[in-house]
Amino acid sequence: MTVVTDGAGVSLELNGIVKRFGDLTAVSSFDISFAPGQVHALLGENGAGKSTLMNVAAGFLTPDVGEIAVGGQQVRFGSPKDAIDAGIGMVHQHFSLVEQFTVAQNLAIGARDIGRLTSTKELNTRALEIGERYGLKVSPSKVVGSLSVGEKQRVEILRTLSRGARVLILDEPTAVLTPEESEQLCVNLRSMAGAGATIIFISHKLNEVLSVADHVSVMRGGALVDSLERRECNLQSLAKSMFDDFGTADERPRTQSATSIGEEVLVVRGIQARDERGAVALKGLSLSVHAHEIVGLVGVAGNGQQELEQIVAGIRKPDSGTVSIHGTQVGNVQDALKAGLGYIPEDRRGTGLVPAQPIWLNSILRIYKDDLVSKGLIIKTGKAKKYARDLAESVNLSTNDVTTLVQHLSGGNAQKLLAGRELSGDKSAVVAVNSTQGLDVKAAAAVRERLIQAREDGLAVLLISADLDEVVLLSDRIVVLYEGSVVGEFAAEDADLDEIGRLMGGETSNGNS
Amino acid sequence: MDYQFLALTIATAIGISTAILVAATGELLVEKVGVYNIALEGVMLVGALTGFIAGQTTGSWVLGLIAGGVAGCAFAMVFGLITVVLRTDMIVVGVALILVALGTTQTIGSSYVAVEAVTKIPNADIPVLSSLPFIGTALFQQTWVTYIAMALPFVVAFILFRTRHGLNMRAIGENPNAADTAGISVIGWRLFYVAVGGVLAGVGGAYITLGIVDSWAGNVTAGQGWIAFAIVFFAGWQPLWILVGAYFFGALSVLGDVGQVMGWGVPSEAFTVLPYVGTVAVMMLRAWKQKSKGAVSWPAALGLPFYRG
Repeated sequence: MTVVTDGAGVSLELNGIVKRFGDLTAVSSFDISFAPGQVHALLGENGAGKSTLMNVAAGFLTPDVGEIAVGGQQVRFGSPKDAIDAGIGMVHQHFSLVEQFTVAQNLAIGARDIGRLTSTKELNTRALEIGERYGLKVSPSKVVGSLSVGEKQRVEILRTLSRGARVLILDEPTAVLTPEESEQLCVNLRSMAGAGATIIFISHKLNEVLSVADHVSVMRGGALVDSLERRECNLQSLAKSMFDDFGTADERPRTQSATSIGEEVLVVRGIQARDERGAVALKGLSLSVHAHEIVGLVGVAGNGQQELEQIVAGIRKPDSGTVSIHGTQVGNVQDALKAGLGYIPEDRRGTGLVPAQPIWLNSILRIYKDDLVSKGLIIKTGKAKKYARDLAESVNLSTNDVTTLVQHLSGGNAQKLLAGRELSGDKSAVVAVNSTQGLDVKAAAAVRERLIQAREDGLAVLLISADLDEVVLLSDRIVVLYEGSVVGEFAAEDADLDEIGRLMGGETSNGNS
Repeated sequence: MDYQFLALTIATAIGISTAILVAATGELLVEKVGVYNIALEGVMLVGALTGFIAGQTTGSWVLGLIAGGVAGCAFAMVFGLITVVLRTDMIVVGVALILVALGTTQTIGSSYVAVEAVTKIPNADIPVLSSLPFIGTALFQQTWVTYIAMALPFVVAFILFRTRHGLNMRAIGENPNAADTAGISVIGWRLFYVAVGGVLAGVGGAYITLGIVDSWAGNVTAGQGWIAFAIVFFAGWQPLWILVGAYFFGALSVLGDVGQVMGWGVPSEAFTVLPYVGTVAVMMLRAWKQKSKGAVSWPAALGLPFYRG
């Protein structure tokens, strides 16, 4: 690993920052400082205000009140450019890379140290130099769209550093990585800090924070609740600071099914499919889910999960292969509904719900033809609203006013509504995709509870999730997906996280890639 | 068909494609930074009338073209301010502006209808080359504007693919956030290129009244702005294909005249519709090809207003 030569950090101080969005105070006035040569973790659950605070520090948001100082100097940022000029750069979860450009071209966007006329050779040489300077390996002539997420992240980090960032902020950088890529990233970050850079690491994963950070600050509800040296904290103390009601939700032991697994319900046979660009996405995939069973499907995003999910839900046609529920073949949405399939898509506010419509209309979206809520072409508004109120009550929605627009619900409430809708009625199977993503701990627990309940009720549950911990927590069986094929299958009690991680990364089960 | 006639036909096709070629090249620049100026037809109309009036008033076609460019620029900036800065929907604003242009130019231009132009853009024969048999007549007895128009796509290709400036332009059209975080003013660059596209469309419009029909009439552009707009899609956002597209549609437009001379017995109205049918046909072909190839060639952020973050 090459030593960073010009990445020596400066201190960053945020004093009394306040940021409000409407009625919500995302960050409420506290002082925090980040020292050079350290990895400083900013820990907190979703919605704690970590990202907001750091977006203020990196010039993406303007604070309502408060001051920013870099290396002791007062600064004011009107844009990310101002921040980067002051030496503060941020790497978001969604990378700002041009997918169609090569790595070298991406590193050259907005650069001043290249000639007015560009040559591929010059840009490639420059990219290699940048990679060497900061000790991150890249392939300059590769098109970014063809890179793995981990590689893209390296390019994004290099892009930020090459613009002169001496304070590097990373927003949940490991959320999109395989376990191995995450480890590599942590090694790289440690080494950058060792060379003097200031690294700020936003995360909600306790173990990760404990392994990488020199200093840990914990945020909750927009406030700073703790700021400790690494040696002063442990898993228990951090968890206590992070959640005021720790113990009720996240770290419970795995729930075992009370009933034994039943007959095959959801059966997928030999599915071949292509993605939007015509590339092969699923290579003859087969799997089955039984009654009273949760099957967790894990894999790095983009290995065919989306295609599989949509084929099972009946909204995408496979090139070949079949999906059946209780022996009835399912080819479209109507079939799937009739066969009793519930579908909780990842994109809850786009695919799952209609944000600009009220709760009651969203509640009957899948049953509007049912005599329960309609007669011919006419929706029986009163009955529909009653139905929605019952649904809202059964899932403990924050409001029982069913005329509230879904866009005004929090993420957690929207998801509770969606899960409630998809699991009510006479259901035999359900597909749930990243169902707790972006939810706070309580809402996530409620949604998980609902899925476990579904299993107890005898449904076949296919859980597609990027959150390995969650899959291990909930599933009876774990299936690993890589490049459109099932590459591993584990009973929950035999699940070995390292092994699963390796399979997700494309290594064969004996450990060789 | 004798050689001389064929050569003259090619020369005419190239000549009348000039306006479309210039406007389409401008539109390509606009779309490369992620904006589509769907008001192109209106911008050309404004340029056509302003150019014609300036030509009549000053007696200089050079000043006429300049005036057309300035007017086109100003009109395009209205579109730019509303869509790029205020982030309003490009289609709604664009169509509205076309109707505004159509109405206003018809009203203001009513006294110029059926007036012969006092100045027209002269042909400039290129020494030696123009006396070559066939090729000389077909290619080298055009106006200066036509020669420049031919070179324009090559210049644009060079800027886009060989310069730092072009790299940044393409970054804005593909992922404005990437450009923004690199310190490039997305809004500023987009406005600038809407203005540049406006200048070129305005000049293109003025070329119609000063170089092709040599007069003004209401709606004189007759859909050439729309064709230029379509050619950018046809060309798959590749500058050199703009050249191919523009001349292809120029050729379709002269087929009617050729048919009459040659006595094909096909009504000339049938030919006037050809460029438009051709546009649709080519677009379908392109979509089909894209589907089978699975390649996406348009700037990824085309038509999307820019919001930071």
